[in-house]
Amino acid sequence: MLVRKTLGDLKIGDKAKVVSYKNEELSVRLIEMGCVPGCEVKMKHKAPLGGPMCFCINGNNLSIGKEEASLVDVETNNNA
Amino acid sequence: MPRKKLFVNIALVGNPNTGKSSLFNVLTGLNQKVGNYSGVTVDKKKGDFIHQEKKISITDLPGVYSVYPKTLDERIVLELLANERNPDHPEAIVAVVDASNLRRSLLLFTQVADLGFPIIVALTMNDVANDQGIDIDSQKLSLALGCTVVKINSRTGQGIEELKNKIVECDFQLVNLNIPLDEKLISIGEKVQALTQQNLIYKSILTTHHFEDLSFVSYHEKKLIQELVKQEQFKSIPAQAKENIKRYETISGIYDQSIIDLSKTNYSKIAEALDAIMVHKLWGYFTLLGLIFLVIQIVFYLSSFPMDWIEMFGGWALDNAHKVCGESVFAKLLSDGLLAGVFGVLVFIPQIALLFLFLGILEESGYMARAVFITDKLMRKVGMNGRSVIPLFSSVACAVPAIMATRTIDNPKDRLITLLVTPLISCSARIPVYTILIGIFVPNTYYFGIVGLQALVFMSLYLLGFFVAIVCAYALKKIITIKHSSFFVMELPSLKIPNWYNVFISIVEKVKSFVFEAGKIIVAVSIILTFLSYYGPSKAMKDAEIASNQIYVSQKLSKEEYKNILAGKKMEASYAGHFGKMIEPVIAPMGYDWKVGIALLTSFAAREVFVPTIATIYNLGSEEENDGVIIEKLKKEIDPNTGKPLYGTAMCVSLLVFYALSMQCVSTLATTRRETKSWKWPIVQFVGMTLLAYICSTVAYQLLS
Repeated sequence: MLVRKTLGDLKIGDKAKVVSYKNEELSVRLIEMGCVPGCEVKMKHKAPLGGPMCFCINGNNLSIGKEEASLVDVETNNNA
Repeated sequence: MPRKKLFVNIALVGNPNTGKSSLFNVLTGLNQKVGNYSGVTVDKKKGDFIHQEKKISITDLPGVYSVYPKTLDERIVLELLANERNPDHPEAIVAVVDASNLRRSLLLFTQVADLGFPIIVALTMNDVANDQGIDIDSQKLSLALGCTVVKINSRTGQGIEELKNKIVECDFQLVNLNIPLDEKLISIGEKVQALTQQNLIYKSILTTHHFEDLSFVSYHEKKLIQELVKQEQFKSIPAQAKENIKRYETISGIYDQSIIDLSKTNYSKIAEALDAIMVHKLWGYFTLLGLIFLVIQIVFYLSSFPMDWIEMFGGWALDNAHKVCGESVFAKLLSDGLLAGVFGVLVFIPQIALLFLFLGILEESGYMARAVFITDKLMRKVGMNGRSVIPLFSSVACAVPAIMATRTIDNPKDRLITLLVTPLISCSARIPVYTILIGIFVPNTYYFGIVGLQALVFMSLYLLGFFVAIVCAYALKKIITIKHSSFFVMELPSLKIPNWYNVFISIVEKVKSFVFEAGKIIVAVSIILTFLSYYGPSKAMKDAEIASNQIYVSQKLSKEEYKNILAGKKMEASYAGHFGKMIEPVIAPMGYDWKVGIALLTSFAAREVFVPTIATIYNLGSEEENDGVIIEKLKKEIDPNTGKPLYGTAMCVSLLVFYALSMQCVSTLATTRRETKSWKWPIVQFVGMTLLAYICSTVAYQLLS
């Protein structure tokens, strides 16, 4: 079953598909860097103390702040 | 076939971390120059190469993700590409396209193509793409894009010769991919085009987005465009997102056509394991602290040898200069001002070179991005961000390159705060001062045989600087009001073995910019201060000579002792001496007398001048290079008022605190002025740090005495 959540909710190893953005300015930045709607992301690392998170997108690692990550809506298959 | 025109003025355009600079270094070697774009403090990297007897000039533009700029560095790319009247406007472009990141690279490529540039594509990172399980068919990509594609590898040199051939054969093509843009966007673009008479619609569209920041749009045009934007309710941000998504649709087709699936990936196990450690919530910080400690230790240790040689050679050169030039006014300025100033600059070269060797390795290997990743949250709490780690780290060597390194911080407020607190970190120029003062009041004892007490005090001074920098940053965060929302979105490049040639080029470039930019100021101030400390009101100077002569006769001194006494007396009578006495009441609460006052003044050229100045004042002779002798002499100094040793613990601690926190570096102030483009911030920095040092030193002295 597909579940809607945000990038910020993902756990290490989770995979998801980017759907939309809650902030336009951030969306421009992410789109430029290859994080476009429809792309597959995999959560790879998490910095401590609520720091940035690192996602693998098209084979490349993009680190995104935790607050920023929670502004990106994704679709995921697992129910966790 | 008609003979093609030769383009001699070419720019490299590409995303960050695509191997663009590696390509630039391979193409131009050491025939490169770092300058400034007029009016802004963005490094302009220009170089040239000669191939088939044709000279080609290349500009390495800052790495960007699109032509919609977000930082200072990025703005210059738009400024150069969109304004044909700019003297640095390129005739043609080598687009650096990352095979392992093809879609993203092509986004910028399509934008540059729409700006009407003839293009050749240099396809980099093919080995990384192969590891990811894909290969790019360069012929198919060339066909899909409609321009020449050359696969290159800057490490092995593969494809470089071919790329050079294509450049001199002028194999550049205009690219038209017919990407369908939004109708409304085109309509407003056409209106702006009519206003500005620009030759291409995409230029006008970019002008509509960025008219406020573009230097080539006249005030009159800005007013008109502003009107138009209001009328049409044009919103830049959604328009950018829409445009780029349209571009990706076209790119997707190109991607599918030119990609070969190798159906096996080859990720390095070692790199993945290292990566896991470097960003680990515990080991990550240990790694970072360990690396900082290691780098500082190695830089200090290794640089001490060449520095000793330079100092020895400098001493020898000064001795000879004294002998040859004699004692005239001009000779003093030449030897003690100019020559000593030049050696004062040269002596820093080993440290700067070594520091940038290690910084280069950390940067090239991809570690720096990981350090930014794990520290971002912590640094944000105190008004900076993860990127501030690099300048703070660098300022252990010297604040000048460190302040220059703040340019990569995209948030203007974070950048300003980082830039202001960076000089509080103890730089290498403070080391000689620390060494002398610690030698006086800290016994040379060891705990457990290895941990030296003196070394511990040394370390604690670094911690003091760091701690105060953090506190100041936090205070500045509350005081400075620049509103700027910034997002943390950063690429984490894959870990790799550094490209040594890039590291080498970066060292050469940093040393050059230090010697020629900061060096000029240091030498100039050294000459001025030499003048101030050798010359004074003629009557006072005469009196000093008479007094020295009397001592010479009455105490039956040797010629050498006489010379030293005379030098000391003369310095007391000089303008610097007068200055020292004038500020004595002000510095008295910190426990200093006028002699220290003179040293504070001369330290302003460079902090390490403290040592020779103190040596001269205490009649040791300025050529006395032996720290041990200076330490013994200072230990014996008696405070005439109390009868206790003058350089007691209280006074030494107070001086150490003062040197750790105060702003005594003209080069740093000059750099701050250049980087902030205002006199306000260097003044704030100078007044703020000096005041802070004054208060802390006074408190320390009063508590301890």
